[in-house]
Amino acid sequence: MPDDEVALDLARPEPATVPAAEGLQPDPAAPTPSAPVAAEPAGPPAWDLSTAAPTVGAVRRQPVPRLTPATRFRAPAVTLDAVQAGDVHVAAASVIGASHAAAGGVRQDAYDFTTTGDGYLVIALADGLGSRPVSQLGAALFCTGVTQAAIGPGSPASRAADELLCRGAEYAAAAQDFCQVPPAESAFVAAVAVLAPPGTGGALTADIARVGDVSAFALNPESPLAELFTSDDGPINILGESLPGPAAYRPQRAHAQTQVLILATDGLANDLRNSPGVRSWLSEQWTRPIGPFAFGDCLRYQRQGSHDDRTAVVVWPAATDPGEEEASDGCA
Amino acid sequence: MNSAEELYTIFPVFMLVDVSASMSGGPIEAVNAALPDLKREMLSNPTVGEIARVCVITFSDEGRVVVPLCDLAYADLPEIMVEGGTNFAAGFRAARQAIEDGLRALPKGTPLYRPVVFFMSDGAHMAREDWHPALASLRDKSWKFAPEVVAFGFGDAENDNIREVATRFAFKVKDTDPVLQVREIMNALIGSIRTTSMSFRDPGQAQGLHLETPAEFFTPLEPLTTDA
Repeated sequence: MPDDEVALDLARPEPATVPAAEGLQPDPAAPTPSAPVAAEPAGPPAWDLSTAAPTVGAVRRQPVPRLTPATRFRAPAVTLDAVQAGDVHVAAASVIGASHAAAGGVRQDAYDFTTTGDGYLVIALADGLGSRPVSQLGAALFCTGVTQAAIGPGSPASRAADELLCRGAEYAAAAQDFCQVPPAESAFVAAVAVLAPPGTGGALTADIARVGDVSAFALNPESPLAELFTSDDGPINILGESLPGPAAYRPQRAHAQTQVLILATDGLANDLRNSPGVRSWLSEQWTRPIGPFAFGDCLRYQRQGSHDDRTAVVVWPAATDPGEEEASDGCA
Repeated sequence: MNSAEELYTIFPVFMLVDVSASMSGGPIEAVNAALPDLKREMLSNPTVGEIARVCVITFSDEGRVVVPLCDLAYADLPEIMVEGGTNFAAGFRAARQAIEDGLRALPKGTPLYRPVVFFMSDGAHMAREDWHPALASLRDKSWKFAPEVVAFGFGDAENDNIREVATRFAFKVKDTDPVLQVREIMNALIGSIRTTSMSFRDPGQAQGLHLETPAEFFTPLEPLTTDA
């Protein structure tokens, strides 16, 4: 690392000095606004808020995130969501990977979801290929294409995940062409999940299609987290197929009935698969609906060798109003 | 299948270095000078340091593992010494054994990048035995750990030999000074480890391996056989 770079210990943020819940309340003992407030003679300012997310393995100090000048199609480093969508609760987050941040790159994952007029939930998740210069564009366009195809005017909207995946890939290809971006520069892998309106039992029924290694997991009480696709045990830096292209017409399929459905890009799926620590942490946090910041905080764990973007979309049956659950935004 | 123990992603890198007598003086000194640079890269770049594991193998009349597959940041670096003749077969056998030993020692199910062997030689095979069977064994596609072999030739290395050794990527160094030649190879090697560690899977031509071999220093050679 050059001498002029500043290294921040992102793995160990400084603890917050004020608990979040108290920080929002007026403090009767606080000085009036006109009174000078003495600054605490503390060490360097905290880089970010504290978190209870675990550190797994020998994690080294991460450099400061940077942005390469003239970056095209920049995507925000973090996105968060948590909403009631019809009869289900959906939370989602996408967080830039440490290697992208350190190298001046951007988050290449994307997600989107929508509900249809007839009560279906459609989720799109995509992961731009790391070596392609603007793969975040393809990933984002795909997600938009899927959700628009699910609700948009024109031809009758499909309720089949594989058809929506094709529509999303076609939309991405057409939009890339409009942007004058060659498909090879914005290649991505992706998945689409279509959830039928929950039945009386509350279980979710999902139809999932994917190209590449975006994956899906089922979380049920008293059961270990179960991956819905078979993971490839070959070299992890070699991937078979990507989009856009003919792979859209031969996706892998999975069907599931589950209490909680998790969709994840490989940056997170690999950790769920290979880390009991991360699996235990997230299984515990995701047993019930949580809010957007709590959800994002869940993905702030540090793990040795885990430097890719992390994106998850999680769906729960909305049997209870998440707002009534105590400390629903208190992941940590 | 969920793992019961923590399995960390590994990018296994094997350096296969010619230490025949022709490497004496500046070239071997350049190799020894580059190893601390690689170690510094491991220490200063967390993405590389957490993933890349490096093994150093030398070959002359015999093949020898001088640094077993390890986190180089915490390894004691030996001084690599010049030995005798040039036996490619000995080097390939030692490389295969080092890959087998190194990767079998990892916890079962460890997520792996495809192993890479960086082969560098300044001369021709001089031993009586045929080196091709040992190369075929190293590159055996049915072998679970079959590596990508990237070959660098310099000095008196014969282009056809370098082309035969490589699975897909073969290079001849342009510079004429042997010390600079070794230095450029080592820089390319460090850069390639860095870029590959910081990238992620790619179904394209590179198949997950990203080489840093600037055209001003290297002439690409067409491999005689490919493992694409």
